[in-house]
Amino acid sequence: MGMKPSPYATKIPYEEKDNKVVGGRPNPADRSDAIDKVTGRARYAADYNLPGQLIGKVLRSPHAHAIVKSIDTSEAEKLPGVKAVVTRDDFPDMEVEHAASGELMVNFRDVTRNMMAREKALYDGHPVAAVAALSESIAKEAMKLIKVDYEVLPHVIDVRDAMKDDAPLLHEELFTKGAGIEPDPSKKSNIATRMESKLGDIEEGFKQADFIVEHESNTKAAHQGYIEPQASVANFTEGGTIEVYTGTQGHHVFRAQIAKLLKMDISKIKVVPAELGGGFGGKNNVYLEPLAAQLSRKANRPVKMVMTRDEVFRATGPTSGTNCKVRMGCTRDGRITAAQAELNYQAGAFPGSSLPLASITVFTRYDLENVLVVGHDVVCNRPKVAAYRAPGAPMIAFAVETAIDDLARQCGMDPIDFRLKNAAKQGTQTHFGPPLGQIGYMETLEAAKASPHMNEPLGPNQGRGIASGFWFTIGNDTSATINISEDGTASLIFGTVDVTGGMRSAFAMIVAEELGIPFEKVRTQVGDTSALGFNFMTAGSRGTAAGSMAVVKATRDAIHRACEIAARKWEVETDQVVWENGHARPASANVGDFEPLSLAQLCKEATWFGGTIAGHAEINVAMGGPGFGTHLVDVDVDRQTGLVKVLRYSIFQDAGKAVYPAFIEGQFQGGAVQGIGMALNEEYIYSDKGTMENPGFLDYRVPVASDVPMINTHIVEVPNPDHPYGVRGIGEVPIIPPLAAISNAIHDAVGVRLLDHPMSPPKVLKAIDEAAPAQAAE
Amino acid sequence: MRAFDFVSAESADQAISLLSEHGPNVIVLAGGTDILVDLKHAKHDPDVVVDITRAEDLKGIEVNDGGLRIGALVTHTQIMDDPYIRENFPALVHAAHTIGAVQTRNLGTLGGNLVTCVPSMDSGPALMALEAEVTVAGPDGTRRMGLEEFFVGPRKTVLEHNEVLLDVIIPRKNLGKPADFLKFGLRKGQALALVNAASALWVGEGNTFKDVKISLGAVAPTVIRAAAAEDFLEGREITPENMAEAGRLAVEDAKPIDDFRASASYRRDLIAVLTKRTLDNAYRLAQGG
Ligand SMILES: Cc1cc2nc3c(=O)[nH]c(=O)nc-3n(C[C@H](O)[C@H](O)[C@H](O)COP(=O)(O)OP(=O)(O)OC[C@H]3O[C@@H](n4cnc5c(N)ncnc54)[C@H](O)[C@@H]3O)c2cc1C
Repeated sequence: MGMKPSPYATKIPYEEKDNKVVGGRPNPADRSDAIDKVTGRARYAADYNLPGQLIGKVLRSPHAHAIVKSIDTSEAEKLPGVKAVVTRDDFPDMEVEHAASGELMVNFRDVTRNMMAREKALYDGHPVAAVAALSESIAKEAMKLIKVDYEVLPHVIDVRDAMKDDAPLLHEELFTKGAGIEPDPSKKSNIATRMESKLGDIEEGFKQADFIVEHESNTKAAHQGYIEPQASVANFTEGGTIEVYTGTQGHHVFRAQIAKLLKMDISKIKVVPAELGGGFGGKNNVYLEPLAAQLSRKANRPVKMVMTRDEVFRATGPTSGTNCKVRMGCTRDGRITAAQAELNYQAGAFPGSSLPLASITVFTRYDLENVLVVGHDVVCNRPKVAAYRAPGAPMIAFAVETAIDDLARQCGMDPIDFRLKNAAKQGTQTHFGPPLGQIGYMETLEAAKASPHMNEPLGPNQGRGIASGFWFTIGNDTSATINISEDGTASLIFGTVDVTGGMRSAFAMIVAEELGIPFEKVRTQVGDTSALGFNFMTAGSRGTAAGSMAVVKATRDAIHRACEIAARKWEVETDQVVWENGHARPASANVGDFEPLSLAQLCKEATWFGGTIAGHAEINVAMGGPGFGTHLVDVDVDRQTGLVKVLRYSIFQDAGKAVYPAFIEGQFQGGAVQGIGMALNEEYIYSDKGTMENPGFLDYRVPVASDVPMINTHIVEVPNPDHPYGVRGIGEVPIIPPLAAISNAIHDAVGVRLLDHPMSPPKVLKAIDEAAPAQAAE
Repeated sequence: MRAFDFVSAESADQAISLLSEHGPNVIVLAGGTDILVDLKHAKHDPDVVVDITRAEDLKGIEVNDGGLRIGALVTHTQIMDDPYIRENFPALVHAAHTIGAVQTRNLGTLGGNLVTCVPSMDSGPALMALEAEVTVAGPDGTRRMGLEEFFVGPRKTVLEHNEVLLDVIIPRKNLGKPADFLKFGLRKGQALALVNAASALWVGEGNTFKDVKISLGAVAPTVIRAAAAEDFLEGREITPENMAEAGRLAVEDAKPIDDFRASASYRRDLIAVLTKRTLDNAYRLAQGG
């Protein structure tokens, strides 16, 4: 990720022990947020209402690319019930300044332009003004009265078109920079960056190869598809502070961005993260928050803004559409000798696609000597891409894992054996940086090979596919506080937003384990920005992995305090007291003969012996604990319609150590279903005018329950050596293999190779029809 | 959405008089699964909405002298659950089952589906292949007509603002006629048909096609009959080749469009496949399995 590891970052060695709570399977209904979500009582951002609030709406560009010559809001402002209108003139311009926002980087110069167009509207749906009024209908009426004078420009949608020399240019000051390239001010370009990383000698590698496979894949943009549209309520108070209730994966990061965009002190802003209805990386970026805050400042009243689904599709997310070229060679006996890839990734309207992340995943699960990876980050007239679960990785895995399949076939090897022969293990040198530590990739392959899935019979036009994926786990700033209540029960406040993966319960289990009290005696909640020190976002699979490090540290801090109370009561030193099974005990018989004291008993003594029992931790967690997974899929292909039906699906993934296995299985399944949807159906479709044709769930088709079979899961456990509970990040890996696995299964079923995403019925049928004469001739 | 008045009718007659009284800018509300979406997107801007959900005479499924009568207010779920329909018209059950999801089917009515009259409606083809007729009631009494006449164009039927659809009748001669319905959407649930098709047939002497009727949806301004395919099959022997040829002819009966959902050429492929498969399935049904 380009970030230099800090020597002060926290690692805690894996502690091998028998856990009482962690790793168990409490009833999922006991998950504290479960019932409220099912009954509709959970409070999402759109459920917050402040007295006197106005409703804000955004006027968006209908053009893919246009100069915004002027904006006249005077008529709208005169409409009764309209309380404020904001445009580009209401926000300060920003200098180029980069900051991490989830897994991707942002540049404030672009962030302010993305939330509100300045010189140009760069995509269909780009905000050009926002209105706050007494009601939604008045706000909508007002938007019709805003006169925007556009000069429509030629636009470019496809990444390959955008890279051409004569492509319409989005930005006047964009010159390609990057590996070995000095920005050339005479060559304006849509290619923002060129990246390169290598290992060994690629030419030499291809010379050693007996077989060479080349794949070129193309993928369309796909949306995160979260059910909850973006929503925010902002209140700019008379005292010059802002309160924001919003759906976010990282409230501290949002707070810092709002402060920057509005030129305010960070401490003057409080962001309260609401219950989240899905994010998957799509809620790592501010969209409505600064607009609502500025409207509130102007109107002197709270302002609530909720996007429609149409706005969500046209102006948030999605992932990059891509063009990837892969060339790989191997020896006759199946040893990969050379692996080369070119990744061309759409960034959307502003630079900054998932390319830097995708490029470190390209071949990372194989032990390779000669690698060359080149990538281009390319702007085009689409919404600025956002992270989406393992950002960028599924698309390049599509090209690579299908090439692996073809190489295996050329060698006459089983695709699992081929992967096993080349699999990465501890010590494998990566092409982007450090060697890999203790990992469990091979174990996932072995588990797949041994699974009953492999013995299921396949009928005519049915096929089996396999593919693997790798993703890292980021660490970063993490804070947690635990307060032991007067009755000995625990209340944990943490700052890595529970993006619905079940972190609240996982942390309750860890706290219960550490304190030696029952799971039910621990309450966990996400604190707002005023409750804790800075927390980085829930992104990069870090939520449970990094979050729990702070939880463990904070809990151990509280335990230390509890032992101190016992020590003071027993009149011994604190280090002569140990914590076991929920009680403070003398460390040895030498210390004295004292009755062990429970947490509840200690709480009663706390006031006299110094004060309440609590603990806290503010740490920078070291990055580590990468995850690997292997998927097996069986499909049925309808040769007459091209319809691909998923018959059977199994996931084998290394989770490090499972804290709450049921939720890990849920993450595996959810990721795979998103991958299946992307593989077969989901795509952004644009008209000739550069407007989105399918901005709704009717035509942007995420799968429904009846489209997918029950997904089998197999948790492999190779502990992360740098985490006390051995936890690895697990949320992102499962979306990586499905595209390739399904392409491989289709190939196995009907002998055609699909590299054009999505593998929708018309495309599959076309491929079958084109191959038919050739097959008939054979 | 603009504010509107809401009135409720207890019977078809009352609905007609309320519609006449408040018209012409009035609209009937049944299950609301189409209307509510339209109201929200301001496709309709009525002054008055007339709720008919309490009109008992628009409900019920029964076999009478005329055939099988299905009230306009019967929901898709009720069609799926009705023992007589399950036994005699599996094609209607399939068609109902493909509509939306459970919630949509619990609320959405057969009448609403036919009156909304989108070319991709899933209730149309099977009923048309079974030569269903509809009863329309207005201030001047009732009239009966076939679906071909009832459907006028995309989102347009013969209904006047003060008329209601009473019921749908499958004629006696077709009770138990083997029929099949297939829908091809790009997702299993909650998907628009790219093409849907239905076939109904009797097996004539010498294993021939008798009274074969084929209907297609989403390939023309309204649901249509595939007349050329029907004419070709009538009296011919039931063979896979003849079914395939009927599929090819059905393509000529249709005028599919090119849009972002699918190309006309892909829709033509589907017409041929679905026609052939529904014929084949209907024939299997006739053979008792
Ligand atoms: C999520 C979702 C999924 C859907 N999926 C499908 C699908 O897969 N296939 C499909 O075909 N449809 C689908 N629909 C459309 C819709 O559900 C059906 O068309 C349904 O049958 C409409 O019936 P309703 O009772 O809800 O109609 P309403 O919305 O109440 O009315 C529809 C129209 O019919 C008129 N009307 C209703 N009843 C009468 C009557 N007796 N006399 C005169 N006029 C009348 C109304 O005035 C209105 O114009 C879907 C809708 C939704 C919301």
